[in-house]
Amino acid sequence: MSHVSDLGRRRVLQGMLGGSAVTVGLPFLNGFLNSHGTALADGAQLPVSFATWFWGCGLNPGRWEPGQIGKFADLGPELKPLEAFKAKMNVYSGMKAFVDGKPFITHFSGAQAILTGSVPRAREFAQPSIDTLIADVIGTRTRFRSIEVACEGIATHSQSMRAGALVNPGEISPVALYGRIFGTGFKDPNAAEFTPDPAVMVRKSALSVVAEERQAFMNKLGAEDKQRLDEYFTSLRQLEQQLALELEKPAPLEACSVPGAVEEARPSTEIETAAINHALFAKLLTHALACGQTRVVNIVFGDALSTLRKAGGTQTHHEYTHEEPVDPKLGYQPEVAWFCTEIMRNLGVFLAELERIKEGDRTLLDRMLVLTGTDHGYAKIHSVENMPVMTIGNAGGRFKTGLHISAKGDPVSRVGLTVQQALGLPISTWGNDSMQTTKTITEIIA
Amino acid sequence: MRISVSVLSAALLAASVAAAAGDAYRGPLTLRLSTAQYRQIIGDVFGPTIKAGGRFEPDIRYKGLLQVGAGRVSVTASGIEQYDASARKIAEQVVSKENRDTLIPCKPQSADAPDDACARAFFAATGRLLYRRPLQADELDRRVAIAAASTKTMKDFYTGLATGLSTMLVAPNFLFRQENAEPDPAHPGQYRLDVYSKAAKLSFFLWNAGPDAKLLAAAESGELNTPKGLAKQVDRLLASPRLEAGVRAYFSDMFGFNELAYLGKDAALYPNFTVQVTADAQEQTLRTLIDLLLNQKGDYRDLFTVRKTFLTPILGSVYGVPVVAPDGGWTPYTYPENDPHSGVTMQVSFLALHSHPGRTSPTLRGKALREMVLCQRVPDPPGNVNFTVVQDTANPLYKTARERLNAHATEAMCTGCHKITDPMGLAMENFDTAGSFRQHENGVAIDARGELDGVKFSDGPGLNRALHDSPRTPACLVERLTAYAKGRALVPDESTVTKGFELDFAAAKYRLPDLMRKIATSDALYAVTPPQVANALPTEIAK
Amino acid sequence: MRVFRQGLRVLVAAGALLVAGAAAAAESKSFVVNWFYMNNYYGGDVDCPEGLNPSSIDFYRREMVRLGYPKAEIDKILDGYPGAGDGRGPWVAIVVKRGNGKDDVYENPTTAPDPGLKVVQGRYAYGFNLDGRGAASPKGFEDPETGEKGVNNELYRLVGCIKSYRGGEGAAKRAAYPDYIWDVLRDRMPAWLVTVTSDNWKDGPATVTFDRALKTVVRDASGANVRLNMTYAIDPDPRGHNVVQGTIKNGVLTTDPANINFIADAFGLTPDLHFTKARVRLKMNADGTLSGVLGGYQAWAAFYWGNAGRAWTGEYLHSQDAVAIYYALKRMADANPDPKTGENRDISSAYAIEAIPAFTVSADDAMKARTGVRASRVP
Repeated sequence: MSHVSDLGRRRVLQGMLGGSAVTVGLPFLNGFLNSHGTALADGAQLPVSFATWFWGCGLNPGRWEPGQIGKFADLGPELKPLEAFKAKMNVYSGMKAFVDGKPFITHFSGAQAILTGSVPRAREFAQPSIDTLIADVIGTRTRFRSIEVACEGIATHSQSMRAGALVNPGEISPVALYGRIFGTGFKDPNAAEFTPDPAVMVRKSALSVVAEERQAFMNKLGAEDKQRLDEYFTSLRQLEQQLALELEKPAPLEACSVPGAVEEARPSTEIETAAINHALFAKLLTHALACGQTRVVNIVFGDALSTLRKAGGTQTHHEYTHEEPVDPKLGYQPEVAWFCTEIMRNLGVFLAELERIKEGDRTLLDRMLVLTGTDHGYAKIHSVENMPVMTIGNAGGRFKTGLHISAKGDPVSRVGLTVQQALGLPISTWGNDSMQTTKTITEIIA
Repeated sequence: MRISVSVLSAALLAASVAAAAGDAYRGPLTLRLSTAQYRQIIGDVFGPTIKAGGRFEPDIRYKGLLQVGAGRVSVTASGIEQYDASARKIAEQVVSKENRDTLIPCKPQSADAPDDACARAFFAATGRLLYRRPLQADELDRRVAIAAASTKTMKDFYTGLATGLSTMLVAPNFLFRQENAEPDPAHPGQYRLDVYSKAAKLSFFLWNAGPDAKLLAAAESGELNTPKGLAKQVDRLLASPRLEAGVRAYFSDMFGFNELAYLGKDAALYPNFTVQVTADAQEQTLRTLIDLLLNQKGDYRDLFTVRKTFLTPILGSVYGVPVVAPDGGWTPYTYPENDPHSGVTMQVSFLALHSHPGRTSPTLRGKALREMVLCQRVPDPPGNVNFTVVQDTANPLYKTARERLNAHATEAMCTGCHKITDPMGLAMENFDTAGSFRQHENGVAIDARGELDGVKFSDGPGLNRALHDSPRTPACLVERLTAYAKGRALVPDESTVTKGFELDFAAAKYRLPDLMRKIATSDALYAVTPPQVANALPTEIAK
Repeated sequence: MRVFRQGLRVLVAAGALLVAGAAAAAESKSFVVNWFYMNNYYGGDVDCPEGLNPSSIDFYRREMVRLGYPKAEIDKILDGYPGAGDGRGPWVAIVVKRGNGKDDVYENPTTAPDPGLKVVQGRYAYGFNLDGRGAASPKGFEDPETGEKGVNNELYRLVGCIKSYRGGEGAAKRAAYPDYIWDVLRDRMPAWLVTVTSDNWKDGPATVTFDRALKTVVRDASGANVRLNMTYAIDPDPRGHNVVQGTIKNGVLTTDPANINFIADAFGLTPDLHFTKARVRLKMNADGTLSGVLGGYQAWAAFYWGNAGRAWTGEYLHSQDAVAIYYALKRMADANPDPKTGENRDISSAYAIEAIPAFTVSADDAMKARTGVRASRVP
């Protein structure tokens, strides 16, 4: 054990291992300072969080894609409500679901393609949704591994599932959600005591063992290889430092505040009512994220078979997609376009809530990655081509934003693969059959 | 932004190393495992039920090979996160309730207390396979200690064991193949790889995997340092079915198949070109060459004229031939004599890879043949070229690629290079960018005449015969395979070695396994100059 | 476009080898059906001068009024219509028994009175003069492509003013419901194959063979279409095998009247299609694909069950009032009178066919491939 105990700084941690967990302050490392020396190094102190935002019946092809590929200036008319966020979002066009001769389940297969990377043979064979995969990695230490809401008041509309038969039901009542998050179990992140996670201590010690062997390894190398392997050990040290930060009492979540009690809303497929529910949910979820109660939230604004309708109206968004004629002058279905724009406006409401939470000189949205999901590219004909997909937020610097990625004919699972990799999941491939992809969207990885 | 800075520094580093090292280096190497090698080793050591995933660092191609680039790459900050996540995931699976009884050679005295003896036994056995050598005493002690400490903290023996295992899986000793030099007793004053480095070199060359237990035993006993012992192991590795994985790895590297994962075609123009096509196309070429080179023990040069291949119904739809295969799988298929699709470079994996998304490129195809098959370097185009004429396939004046290139390459600075590449690439114009046969472009009959080093031909099959007959074709394989085996670019004076291999290759009727045996049993593969010597004499060697 | 043309080139060679029974001078080209859908002409506002038929919520409201529900209660029942689509909405039980209050109306449509159906009153429809009476055929349409008069297509007349059956122009030509049905169906049923044997599509006699494959279609990168040049083994089941004679004139192949059977064997969506006195008009497009029209009579009861078999789900989703359609079918059927009652049992109809070059092999060849004997290509 002598080689382990003779480790100077590391001894602090070794002492903790095997003993009782105590709050220990570690020497502050220069490496944690950014170039201005003003704050903790980027992305290290506030954890990345993830959200999905789902709506049904897609958007009208040609009416959402940005005017430019790569850095874009103009969003399509149906994304105009997101204008304020265009620098913080990526839009993905041209990607599709491959059905591969399996039964094509309308309003289902396409949604699965985005959210599970796979098109299942039947509902019961659906793969786990991306949020559960991500929550299993980033959501293990929070009170809630993830929180789901369904704005139309139907719990089973949730798109979050462990597998086809195991849907995580969506919360439909804002009052109930308030109670769940900010009721008796609420854990104030800014409370005085802090207990370091023993599992992180162990991980850090494990990396220290490797770092200790640096000299023995480097001694055998020539000059060029020394330079290369120096990079390896520098990277290793950065990872150690990240873990060291996790062992310190986290920076106070100054943005955390408990919202006032909310009113109950009436569950309804009226889009106006769903919007009211959504606004309440958006506020509660944002506070839950800011207060570190969860790191994964899933919002279903409208279900896959979009049953949203205008207040007092008789026809649903879904019915309009199939029955409304294409206006020959406009070149699209005007009622459907109204729903699309209105739905995107509501997405903007959620994003604005995230953006409103200031964390230092940045916002909660900046450490988020919001992935949108829908079921069709062109609902009128149940097309799963050119599925509209967006990500908003840069995941604490892991994503480049303001880009329009056009990947015609590629499986839409590329987006999910890239999202998972950026969030640190050790996967190199995602999806089934023709949906299976190893093609990371490297253009957006920061 | 932390990540992007690291990526950037890695790129700069790679460039600076390339500049500093030149091609004179002949010392022991430190090669980062490729993703495929990483997975292969995990599978070999822990069995197929253990899943190893992750978006590892991109490999870099140098002098035509990723395997040579492996000596020029490191691990960035985002890369180490992936390696660490992967290491923990693998360790967690290995010690899981389902696997521990088969993968861990002993049971702890108590499930929630350290058991140093059991941990030591596990780390010694596993570490030897992961590090490709026995663990040194202090390396082993550290693992036993961290496992014990972790066990105490987490109150679980297996969690402790997983912690110790993850430290090996993320260690440079595992992620990098580090070679060591020792004085060569047979040649006083010279150096050779030590016996474990030698074993690793051999197994990565022939199997694209780490040494197995028998090879490590031959290293440990010193048998591998005797010519007879080495020959015995080389024969054993060559006779194993695992040779196929090694040959697949080499040709995947040589033909740049890593790029196929990112290949796409304009879906509006080429609706038949789907992701299955790229996956099947790579497999088609690999099956074709494995059948010819290993199963038939055929002549390497016949790879460029071979008629027997393997197809899936999906590939059949691209080639325009009927294919009935059980459950959409593979079926052998033999092209008629002189069929345009004969030869592996007339397969989709080559034709589509060296084309643009919406049009062919005789230049890219010719360049790829020069560089991949003949080992000749084609200079990059100058920076200020106007490509408008070449790119506009709808120009009514220039309906075929040949006409467009002729119009483009009138400038002297362009013609020089295009003369090297285009005459070969134009002979492949009967294949569109997706690899399907065509006789016309924009309604004009395609003129597929071409030339290779003075040999003129009228079409693709003619090009195939010229490639088959070119002395550069086998010579290039010898040079590149030697560089692949060594893991570095060859030094100019090593041409005497490759010349010798070439004669042996010809004498062996260009059979690949014979060439591999020759390289694997040669002293040249294992000869090294120790680093301090290499550092002292960089300029002399560079001459 | 180029791609299709190449496929054709090879196909000529392969087809000659693979299709048994082709005459020496003739050559065979095989195709796989890419799209097959009710070919509903769209003539803008003039087709349906009375307007379109109501959406499901409106005809459900109408039926509830008829059943005597007070307005306030109807509003309550239909609040949130259609709901989650899971059958739990309060309206479901009512509309299912809207006939006599106890029996399933889809199985017993006559338990409810005929609510009437707005039908097409325009001049044009795709199809053929099936009854052989030419321009004198009662209620005959004019085919907008061929100009043929007396075209019998009462099924189009019947459904053409239902929103989900309403065709469109250009890219929206396929009506939403037939488009949806086929798109779902073709992934679940064995592919349909068409083989044309002719003298290189020159004017003169030709034979058209319709077959069913052993497997489903494979789609291309667009997802909307079937992959070009795939190989399909022909199902030896005689139910799906049809050989019809025809003539090519000015590049258009028209077949003589015959019975043609398409067997889907796909559960739950539509019955198999059995056409009598059917004729087919096909033309080869510049890109090597095939397109055309099939016209024929089919049993109206089979058509009814194709929709009503999906009960309230199909009805509400696609606004197809099952009762109204039932009475209209009975009323508008125009062939094959029942010898006892004199009521017509068949209705005239027309479908669009779009097919893509493919290879076909016999089931025997497919079996040989499993045992290692392979088909090879003619150079």
